[in-house]
Amino acid sequence: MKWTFFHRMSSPKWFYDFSGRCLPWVGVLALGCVVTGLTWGLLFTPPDYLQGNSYRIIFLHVPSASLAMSIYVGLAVTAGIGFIWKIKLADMAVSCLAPIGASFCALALITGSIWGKPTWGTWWVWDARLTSMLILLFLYLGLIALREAVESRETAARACAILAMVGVVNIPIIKFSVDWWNTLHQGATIKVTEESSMAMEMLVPLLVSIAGFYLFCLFVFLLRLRAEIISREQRTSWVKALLGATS
Amino acid sequence: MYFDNFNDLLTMGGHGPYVWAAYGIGLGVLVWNLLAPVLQGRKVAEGIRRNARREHVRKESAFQKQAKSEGC
Repeated sequence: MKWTFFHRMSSPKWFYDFSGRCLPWVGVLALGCVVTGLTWGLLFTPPDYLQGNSYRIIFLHVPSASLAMSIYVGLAVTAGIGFIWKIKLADMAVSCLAPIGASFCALALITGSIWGKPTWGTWWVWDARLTSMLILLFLYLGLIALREAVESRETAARACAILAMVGVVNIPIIKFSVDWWNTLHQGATIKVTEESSMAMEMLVPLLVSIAGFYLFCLFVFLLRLRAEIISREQRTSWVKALLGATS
Repeated sequence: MYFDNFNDLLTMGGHGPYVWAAYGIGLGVLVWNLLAPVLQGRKVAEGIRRNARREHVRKESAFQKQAKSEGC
């Protein structure tokens, strides 16, 4: 296996150039999928036989909840790679993923709460799924706060990597909470190994919306990471040349 | 479109406030995610350019001072 590829990928300059070429494609695809998925779900699907129109929140709630969990796994893996091989770009990626993950985790909790009121009759219950998701939000906020609190960049990177890796234990708890405990929250709607418990005309826009949210996340992650690269590499000649800031 | 008229779309059989509030907040989160890195990138780039200008002025004045002292 050629490891040179990984070394090249972890060079901030190479990544900056490469991401610049991918950015427009990802952006256009993300915009197309998000607009299609949400408009389709909001206007063109029939209401649910039990929940009426309130179920339309699913087209926002499921993608954001799924993203919040996936981003955390991605963040923890990246943090692990950065921790073991001391890759600067990996720590930059961790610092960029935390606020994005936090925003989608908050969105999942808020939309879930709004959906809960007409469906369950309450904004919030301390059941396993909701509580473990709230802990995920606190983990994200903890990662952001920890980075701000530690002055040395190297120490902050190591501390955040350890917190990220330990926190990953919460992900299977969120995922299986609906099976392990009696929760008010329903079980998984989309299943990979068996048939999904959702009508096709609702499932397709949901899948489009999920794809759109993942692409959108990739897009804003690349935007953030590029800004972070410029910020941390500002003393290098390539950044100065890029910004026309050669003195 | 599933809804017969604009009013139906707004009220959604009584669920309108919930659905529209959720979508409004969702749109807010998407826009924040887009704006934050763009503004951050601009701020960083501006800071780097400002530093470069300052450095340039400092070098210029040092050069002039040296030239003056050599001239004397």
